Amino acid sequence: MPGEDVVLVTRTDVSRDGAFGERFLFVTSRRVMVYTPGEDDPDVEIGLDQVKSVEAKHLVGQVVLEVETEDRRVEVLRASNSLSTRFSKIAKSLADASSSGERPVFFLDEDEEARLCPQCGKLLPEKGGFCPACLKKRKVLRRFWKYVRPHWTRFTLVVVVILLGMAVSLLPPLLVRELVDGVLLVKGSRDRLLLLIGALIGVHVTSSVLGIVRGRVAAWLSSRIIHEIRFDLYTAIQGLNLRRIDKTQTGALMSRLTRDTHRLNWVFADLGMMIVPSVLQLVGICFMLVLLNWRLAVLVLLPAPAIIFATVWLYRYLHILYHRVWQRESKMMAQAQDSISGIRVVKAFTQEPAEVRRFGERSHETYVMTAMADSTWATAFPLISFITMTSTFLVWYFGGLRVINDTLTLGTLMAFFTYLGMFYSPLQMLTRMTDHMNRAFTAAQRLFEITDADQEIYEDPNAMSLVDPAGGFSFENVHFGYLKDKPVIKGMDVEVRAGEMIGLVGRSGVGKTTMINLVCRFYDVDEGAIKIDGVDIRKIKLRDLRRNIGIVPQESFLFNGTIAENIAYSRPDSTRDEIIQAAIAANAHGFIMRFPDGYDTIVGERGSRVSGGEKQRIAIARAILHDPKILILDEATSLVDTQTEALIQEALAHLVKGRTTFAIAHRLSTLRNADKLLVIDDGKKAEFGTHDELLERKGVYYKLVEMQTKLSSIKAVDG
Amino acid sequence: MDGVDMSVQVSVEPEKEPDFEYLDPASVRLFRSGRGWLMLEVGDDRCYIDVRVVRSFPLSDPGHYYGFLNAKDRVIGIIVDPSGLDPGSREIAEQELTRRYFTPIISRFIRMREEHGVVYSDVETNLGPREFVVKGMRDSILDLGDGRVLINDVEGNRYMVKDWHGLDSKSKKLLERVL
Repeated sequence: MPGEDVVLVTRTDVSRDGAFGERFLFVTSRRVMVYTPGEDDPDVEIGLDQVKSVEAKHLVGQVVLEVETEDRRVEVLRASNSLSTRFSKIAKSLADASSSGERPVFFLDEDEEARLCPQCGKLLPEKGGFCPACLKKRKVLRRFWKYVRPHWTRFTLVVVVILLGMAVSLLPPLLVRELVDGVLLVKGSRDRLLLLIGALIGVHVTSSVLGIVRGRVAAWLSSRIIHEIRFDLYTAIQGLNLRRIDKTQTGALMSRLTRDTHRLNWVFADLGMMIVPSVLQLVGICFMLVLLNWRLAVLVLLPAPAIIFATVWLYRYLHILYHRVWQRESKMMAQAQDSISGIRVVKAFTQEPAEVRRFGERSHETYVMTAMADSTWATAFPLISFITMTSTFLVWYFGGLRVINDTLTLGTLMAFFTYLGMFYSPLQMLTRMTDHMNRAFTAAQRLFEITDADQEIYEDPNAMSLVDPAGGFSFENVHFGYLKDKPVIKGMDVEVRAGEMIGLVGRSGVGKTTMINLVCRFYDVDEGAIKIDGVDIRKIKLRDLRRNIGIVPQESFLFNGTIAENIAYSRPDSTRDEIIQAAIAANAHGFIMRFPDGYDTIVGERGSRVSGGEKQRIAIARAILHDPKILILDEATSLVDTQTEALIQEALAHLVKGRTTFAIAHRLSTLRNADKLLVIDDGKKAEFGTHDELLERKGVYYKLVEMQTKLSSIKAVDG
Repeated sequence: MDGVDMSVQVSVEPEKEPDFEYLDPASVRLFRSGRGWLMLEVGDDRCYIDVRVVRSFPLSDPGHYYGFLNAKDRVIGIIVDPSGLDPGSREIAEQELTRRYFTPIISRFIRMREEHGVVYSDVETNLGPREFVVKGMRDSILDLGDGRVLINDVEGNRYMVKDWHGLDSKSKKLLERVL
């Protein structure tokens, strides 16, 4: 059409009949069209002037772009969740364009790039994170090396000792040969005998000493490195993106911290103590065998490939079995953890028998698998030993023949046997180790999965510091949902001025706590932005942001420490006076002093030794001591007696004075103290104004206050 | 108001929930309006505009307990057994459900590669071929019982496997790790 130009062309991944396929969306300055490739006529064609509203509806597993015209509703296209953000943006742009009458404008590119790996082009599991496909096993080893490198002196010592040990270990068979051929058979002198035995003793002593040195240094080295890895892991867990924590059970994380790091120990112990020395020893022995009598050496080494093959196959199978054991154990422990930490609920609903049964089932599965794995091991080992024996028989026969024919000395034969003995057990151990190493690698994998991939909210490397903010913040067209298919905040626009207190009001589930999570940047908005002093919070250093925001959450979590430690949590170096002042302001000083241990009272796991009202006030004291510019208050809904209630209210009043406060309010008094009220409905701002303004409007807020007044006539029972 | 203030929980209820009930399928009629909206008639006296049809148990019992929500996503009622609906209504209900729940069923794993806890998959589904990435297998792959498995990829898409025991051995081995 003349005067019409194309503004946007984009593709979707769902075809007209609802299967995976391609379709194209064309947006021009006048129309919206959807084409199926290969067809000349569009499936959908709508003039922009006919459009009354546009919405990207999130269904389960897909998003639907719908347009309402004057007389009908049209489904424009569908897309899988992979494209849901893009089409949400497109919907918004189209909606803006249709209401303003201007050309549609689209901002689509920024987000897309950070999702693909720059090297291999595959989808990154985590935006801006690392690409597992590009990560080679070599890199895992390199990671280990980074931990080893600082301790290189000790490491070198271990290496040197291993080499020496190997050289020394090759000597005894030669001494034996000399002993047999040169002394025993020729009925030589007693002195010579003593000399050789002395040499043998000397060699063994040296060997032992070297072994001890190697063992001690390796022990220190491996423990130290495990400690460093464990430490990094814990640090990483603390830094985990909340979305990931929500999905992973604490039990699984704990298991990584304990079992997997323990497994890693094997890497060092095994590598240092067994694998490398064994490999070197094998090489040395092969060399010596060939040197002594190459024909016999061939016989000795003949069964080797068969043994290696059998062992490798066997251990691979065992690996799978043991992995299943681990997996079942994990499940069992997770269930135990869950039901024990929720023991109150279990007891209240008398579900003990059910939980016992569940645990029993899991434990049973674990035992079945363990029995299978262990018995396979028990069967396999002797079998392998038997195969090894064939070597010995071969040497007896062919070696014996040669001794009889005088082509081989008895001493040499004995040396052969000694070397043989030294050969096959390391070989078996070695093949066993490859599997062990695999398991250790898997453990390493699981650890690095956490340390690498799951870090906090994507932090912009160019993030700015936040110094002494005024404390005003704003939501600008914010959209967010915890799950892709279920948006909670659907376009929130609100401005909070520095020092103002805003009360959030709305039904439960409407998004009040979510808004708080977003301000603290526990989650990133899907669309739009939250700004502090005009700066997008994503462009501010996370640490700075959180340091300037204080939270008093609905359910105050207290750590298992003293009351003083809990109050001073954000500022551990506070003085006792500061702690007391904060407690006084929070009306907590009174009850704290009544505890026998006063401020040194241990609050118990999750604060179980203090009551709800006391917990709240300790949390308020904590926030007061923190002294943040911006305060987030998620009022607890638990009812307490009138007296305690009054104390809490007073404490809160002290807390919010002069601070920019964002409060989810349940108490009417809090609402009355607020400068402005924000009524939220359906994820959007429904009403916003002062208490009096909203009352006049006789809208939602008015109804609420009316209801509250009516309810006030019902007095509380106690206090 | 200040003096009698109690710490009573307040909540805003701008609209009442419609009365929820178990609906008799025989008395229910689903049809589309001229505008393309979905309409629900219950008995002779009630008509709801722009309703949605949802599954109450989409994973464990997808064929029963169809729920109806009004335009504001409030529950109108539930039909336990949809086979009691008249054929026209039944067809519309099924259409709406297919439209709402987009969960391709994987028939075959063409390729499945794991790198450090992240799984790259190339599959064939009943809705065509697809590639996706799964992270954190333990949390993204769910055992629904009866051999059925639900897989969530990193972009929020879902896929279902009807019987994982019947898959090729490589995929089976991988799934065995978490199931």
